[in-house]
Amino acid sequence: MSVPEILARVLGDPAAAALPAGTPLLSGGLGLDSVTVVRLLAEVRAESGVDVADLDLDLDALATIASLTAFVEAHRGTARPDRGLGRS
Amino acid sequence: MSGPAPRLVKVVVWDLDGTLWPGVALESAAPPVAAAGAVRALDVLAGRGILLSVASRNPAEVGTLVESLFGDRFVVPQYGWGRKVDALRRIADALDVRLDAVAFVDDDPMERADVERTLPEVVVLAPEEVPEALDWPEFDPGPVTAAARGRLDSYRQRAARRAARAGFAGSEEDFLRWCDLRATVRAAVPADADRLAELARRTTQYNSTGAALPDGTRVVLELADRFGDDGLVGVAAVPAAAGPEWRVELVAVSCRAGGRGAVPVLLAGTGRLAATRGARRLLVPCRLTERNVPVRLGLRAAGFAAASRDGDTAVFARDLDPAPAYPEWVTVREDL
Repeated sequence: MSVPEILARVLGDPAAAALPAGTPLLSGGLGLDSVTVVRLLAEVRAESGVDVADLDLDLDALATIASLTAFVEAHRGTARPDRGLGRS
Repeated sequence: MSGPAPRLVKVVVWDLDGTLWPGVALESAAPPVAAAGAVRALDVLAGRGILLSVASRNPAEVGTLVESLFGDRFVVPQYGWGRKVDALRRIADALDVRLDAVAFVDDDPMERADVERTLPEVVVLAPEEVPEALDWPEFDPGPVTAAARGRLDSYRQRAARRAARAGFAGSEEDFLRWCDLRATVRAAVPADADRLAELARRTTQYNSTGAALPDGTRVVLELADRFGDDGLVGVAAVPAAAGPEWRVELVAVSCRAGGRGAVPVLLAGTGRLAATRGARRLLVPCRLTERNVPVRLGLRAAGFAAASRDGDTAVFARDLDPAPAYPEWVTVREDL
């Protein structure tokens, strides 16, 4: 599942999958609230194995849909398999 | 290093028929009376600052009956024929709490089993288990402060704020300006102690390290807007406030304030205080969990960037020359 598809699922709005790639995720764009961002990152990790919260300290990947997509593609397959599984 | 804080229930969601009253209300000739002990349990929970809600397979008109029996004790009640797991998700969403802070009370073993299986993080109880559960640590938030008792009002204010936001066409910043957001940034006083301990303990999304509140210099934030007064909603603690680098060992902000830029305002105030005392850099260690991503978004908005990483903690830093300015969408009264 691609980042736009994951975003659409998290937002419960299929149309979100077709948003322009340059759409900012936070202020000045979709304005996602904190709960939604946390859910989006959890879904991205579950779908792609890429733990953005762990890998991107400054969360620059959350700038736009395109930047998050690029970050996930660049790290897909490099994620450590033991990450994110140890939740109690 | 202390262990993880025990989880705390912040919302208890109740079934109606067979739970809050005997029998099936809409199938009865006479209106039901509240189940023995139900009102007392609701009042005990509310007195501890725990929110109450309803998930019932009834049409919305049952809401009139709920109000006549229980007044306005319940927030965001969910009526309808859908699964209760979806109702619980909607309630958690609307109140901005995680599902592991939700408890669910239902007399129907099938409903309880469905929730237990689908949402294992929810505390699931039969009605007869409630009196005992009130003594469990999950239901004991510690010293209950005025802010906790007022939490119900505060969530109502937030619901009003959200509704206004949904109907507002401008940017987030324009909306906050329209809300007439007012902040007080000041040094903590002894009377704040209970509220500060509660903030350190209850906050998760906007909590930098999960540590107990350190002693030392504490900068606190109060927030108010046109919807109401939230009181003390944030703290930044600097145990050793001296030298060229100040290290903020804990940032804790209530989730009901976090979405309104509370972290940047609090850290701007802390940075300004540090700068006046000659510090040149402000450091904020922060645990790297998915759960507290919101506090990191706040750090980012406040001009911080990661400076180093050690395992699951990173240190975020920003220079204090020039001293940080407050965001222009908030009116700040500074008393440091």
